[in-house]
Amino acid sequence: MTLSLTLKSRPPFRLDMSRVVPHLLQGLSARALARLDVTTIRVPVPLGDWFKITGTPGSDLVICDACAQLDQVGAALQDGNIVVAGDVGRCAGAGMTGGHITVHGHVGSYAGAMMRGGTLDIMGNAGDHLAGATVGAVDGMVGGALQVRGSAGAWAADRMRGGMIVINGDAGPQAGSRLGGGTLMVCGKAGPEAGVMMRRGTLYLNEAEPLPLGFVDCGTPDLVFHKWLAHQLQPYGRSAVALARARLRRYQGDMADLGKGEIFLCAT
Amino acid sequence: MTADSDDMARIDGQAVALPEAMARAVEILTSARQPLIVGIATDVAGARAALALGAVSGAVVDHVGSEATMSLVLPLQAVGGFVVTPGETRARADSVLVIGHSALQIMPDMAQALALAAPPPVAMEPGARRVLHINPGAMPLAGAELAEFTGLSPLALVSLLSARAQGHRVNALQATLTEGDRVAAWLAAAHYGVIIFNPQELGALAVEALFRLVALLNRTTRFTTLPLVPSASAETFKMVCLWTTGFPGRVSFVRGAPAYDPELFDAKRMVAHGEADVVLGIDGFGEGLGLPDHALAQIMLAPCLNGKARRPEVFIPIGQPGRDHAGVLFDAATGTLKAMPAAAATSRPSAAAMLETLRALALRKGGAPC
Amino acid sequence: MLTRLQGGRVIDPTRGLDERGDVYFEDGRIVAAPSHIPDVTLDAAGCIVMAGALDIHSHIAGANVSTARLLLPEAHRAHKARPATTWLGDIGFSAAETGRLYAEMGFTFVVEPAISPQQALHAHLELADVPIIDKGLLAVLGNDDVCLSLIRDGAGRAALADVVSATLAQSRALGIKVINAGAAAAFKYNLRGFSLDDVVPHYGVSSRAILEALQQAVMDAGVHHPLHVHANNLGLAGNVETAKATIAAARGLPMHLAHVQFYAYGREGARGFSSAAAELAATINAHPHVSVDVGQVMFQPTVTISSDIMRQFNGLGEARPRKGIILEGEGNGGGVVPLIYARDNFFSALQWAAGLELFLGITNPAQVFFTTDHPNGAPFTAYPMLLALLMSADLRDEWCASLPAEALALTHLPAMRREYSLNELAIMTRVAPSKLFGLSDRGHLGAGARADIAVYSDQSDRAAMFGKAKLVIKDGVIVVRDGKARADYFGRTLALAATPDATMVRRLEAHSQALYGINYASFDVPAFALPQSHGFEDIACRS
Repeated sequence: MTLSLTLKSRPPFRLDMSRVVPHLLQGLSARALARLDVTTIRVPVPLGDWFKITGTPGSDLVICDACAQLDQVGAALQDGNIVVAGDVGRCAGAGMTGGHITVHGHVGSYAGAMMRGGTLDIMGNAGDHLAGATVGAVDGMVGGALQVRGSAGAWAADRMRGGMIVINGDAGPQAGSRLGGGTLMVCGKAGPEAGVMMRRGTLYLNEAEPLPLGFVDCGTPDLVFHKWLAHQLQPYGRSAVALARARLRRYQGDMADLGKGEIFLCAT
Repeated sequence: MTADSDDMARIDGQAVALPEAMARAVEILTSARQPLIVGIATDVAGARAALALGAVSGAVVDHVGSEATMSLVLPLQAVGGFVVTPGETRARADSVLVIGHSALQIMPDMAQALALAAPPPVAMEPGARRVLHINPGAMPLAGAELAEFTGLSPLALVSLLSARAQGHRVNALQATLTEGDRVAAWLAAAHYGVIIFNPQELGALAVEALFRLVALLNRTTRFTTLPLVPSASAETFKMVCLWTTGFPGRVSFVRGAPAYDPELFDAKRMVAHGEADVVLGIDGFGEGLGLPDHALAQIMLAPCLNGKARRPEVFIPIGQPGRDHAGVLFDAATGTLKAMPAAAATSRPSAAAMLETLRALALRKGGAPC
Repeated sequence: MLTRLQGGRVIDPTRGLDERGDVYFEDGRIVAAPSHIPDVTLDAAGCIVMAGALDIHSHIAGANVSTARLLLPEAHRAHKARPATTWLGDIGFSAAETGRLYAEMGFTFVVEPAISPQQALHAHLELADVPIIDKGLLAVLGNDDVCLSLIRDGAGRAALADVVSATLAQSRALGIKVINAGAAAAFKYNLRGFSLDDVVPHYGVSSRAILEALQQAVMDAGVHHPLHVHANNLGLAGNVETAKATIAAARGLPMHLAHVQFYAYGREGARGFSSAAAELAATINAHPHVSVDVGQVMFQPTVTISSDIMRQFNGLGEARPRKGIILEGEGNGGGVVPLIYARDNFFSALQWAAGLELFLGITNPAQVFFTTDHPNGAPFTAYPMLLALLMSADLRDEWCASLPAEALALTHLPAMRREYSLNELAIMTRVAPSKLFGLSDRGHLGAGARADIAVYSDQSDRAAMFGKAKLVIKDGVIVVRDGKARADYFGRTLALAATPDATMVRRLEAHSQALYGINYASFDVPAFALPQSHGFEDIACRS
């Protein structure tokens, strides 16, 4: 069963979609759905005021004509599928533990922040703090898989501790900063300070601004693992596969911290 | 503006009786979709009243100095840290490390206030105090040893020191390495070291790296930090906001209970995105509101109208805490709140009094969101 | 206006009272049964009526508490969204919530036990925003240069008593606390452990010497509450020896030992960590001049807030989440380290059991005080459940069934069948604390007492009963009805009316200026600095 929400027009304020996830919608009547509060302003804003609602709540949710005013889309998703046509705002898929989210558009900051499981697939670009940690949280993403077909902003994979991220385009400054585990792959170019204060975990970068001084060159090891990885990466597109197959130079760091992380950078 | 004109409440620039201005302000505030209370350059009582008004009007409340505040708050919330008071630094620190060019701008009398030239009276071993100033720019600390790391960002500098303090290899020029080792050796020789810095100059990430370095140094010796706060009213607001809401600032009362989000409830961002339709500004110290030039505060509480800013719809004159009326403010010399009597008492009302009246009027209008 | 509280089971141990009856109050005070007809009658049938409860050790205000708020925004945010299930969900994080939650449990007076004199104004401003309840604070001495220097120089009893009086007067405090005497100072000289006979470098003064000198000074200054002691070696295996040595160091004179559960550990068992609570309880029973509070651990995530910076620094490795803040000040400073006490954790379970062993093993309920050392052992919102545990051996058995047997085997708890009576609870939470602070008009329902009254509907679920009082009356005003507090009533802050010696104040001024470059008066708490809702109530010193 699928529930479809179509945004009627772009709201002049942000909407909080955190209550609009499949496991919270089960069994709600059309009336109850229309009344769901999505306000971020002083007065209550019911879902039905801004969305045309069709279908029946079930495991699948489709959001059409979405825009960057929609925050928390798919946040804390447990299972089921969410497909979004259009852009979304902050915290898309944040804290999700399972299920699948596909956004056919751009996402704002903190997409996939602190996610623990499931898959988040972003066809467009991502904002800052992709898979990061919201304020006060010690860890960012700890599990699951995340792909950005476009580019990501600053702080991608900040404080990540587990899981897999592929960015097919570029990443902004501080990609993989404070990384404690997991893997981030940037198939385009990473901005300055990639991997800064990284403790453990792995970055694959096709191209990068000069790495922080805490990364030391460890040569170009020929790792069988990368051949296996390239195979596994086929669903993530040719650029990901090509990066895993490329001749990679290994850097260890960040020596300012624990220094047990590694960056594989395409050797030119 | 003449001094005389600033004593009058105004609506659209026209002098009016205070109750009239207050009534209009409440009208604007309670009919807003999303009010924003900004500036908040005031004392404890003013900060308290601003938050209370925010709570009844469902506003987002953000201090003009919170960007600076957040460069210290965010690292503390992420990894914690080590902090000391100025008094204890003066009494105890045998090694004082100042990082950056702006520390002395915030604390121009540092050498005197911390008696840096004198030996620390309660130090472990008697002897002169070692003072080192890294990257002093145009304002080197008098009498301090200097170190210069050109071309390194604050984060890279702290990273270099952390790596060398652990004996880790780094990828840097030999000259940088030599200088880094010199400073690392200086750090290791301290018995009780204090690092003084301006969090905003370093940036949140470098501050976090610095706290990690200090944690590392504390495995073998004693080290802590003295972050300098540029705005007393920002620090005051942070403290009041913590005990009032549980959060250090950038709070929203839209849903009744306070919510905290340093990105979402950033006043500048909200104004830029058109998410706030009414702005109430409080500026008891002439710190400004920190908003983009085009932004308009519909309601302004200040000792005088700033001639350059656009004219608010409602202007309510207030006094300056510690000058026109008594108040409590963060005191950089003690590192805590301090009671200040009125230095030159006038009849000008406090921000707190005006905000409390607005709150009472808003409550009467049923402005409470829940 | 005369009010009659009618037909409740009135429990007032000061008058040996446990019977159905009426309580009358007028103008904020309890009055004897009057001859004229009451203006208002409140029905208390089926209810238990006691004086309002007092909490003598709960970290509810001040710089360190605010630092804990700063450190853990995620806890607070999580709470707002899912209050029942998330960690720190009920810690009462803001000043307003603190007062409301305490009042709803029938508490009418709470002492914040650890305020650096330099931070007194900040603490009083926070306390002023705590609604409903009355408040007080203890000022911290013993790790500061003034005390250490005077003791080193053998300045004598009078000088130290003068420091105590001056500090009480400036900080508007109700008493004095010493926290790991000398250790915060020693930590600044890079010592990482500190016991009773260890010596603070530079000063050459032992922890014992500090303890003895301050204990005497507090008595000499006419403070009702004996020196409030946070002993050395908190939380360490085998530290029962420290606790016993500290009790011996009291030399037969009054002393209060804080959160002794954290000092009730032996070294038995495979992990070298066992409960020595029985031994400690026996020692306490044999020393009636010593009073203690427990600092009970309950199973939930919490945050530890302590001015024992040496201990907090050493505990940073156990922080969950992995972060903590260490602040150093002119004296103690403070450390904030989040922790998780889990049911399935050996150490947590042992600590929980050791605390209950103390409650049950200390025979005189007037000697043991009811605390969780909020929030160090658990947030104060765990009190109702803790009271229920004290009142039911069966309930304790239920809890024990889900705990690691390995931990319980190293305690005597399962065999302890004592159950607290309501009368004993009233002694522990009402009578004894008011006596400890010399507050003769609190903790009882006799004529002349403050009309601070808690009314609980009598039900077998004691946790539910104590969690939400049916009625709470503060100064004769109904502040809680059916478990819901009104937020617009404010109590007072109690402060000892100490008279500082002018010569000592001049000396302290000179010292502050010379050592810190700071005017001593910077730390004053003038009335104009506090909001209008705030009022001090002066308590006369012991003559």
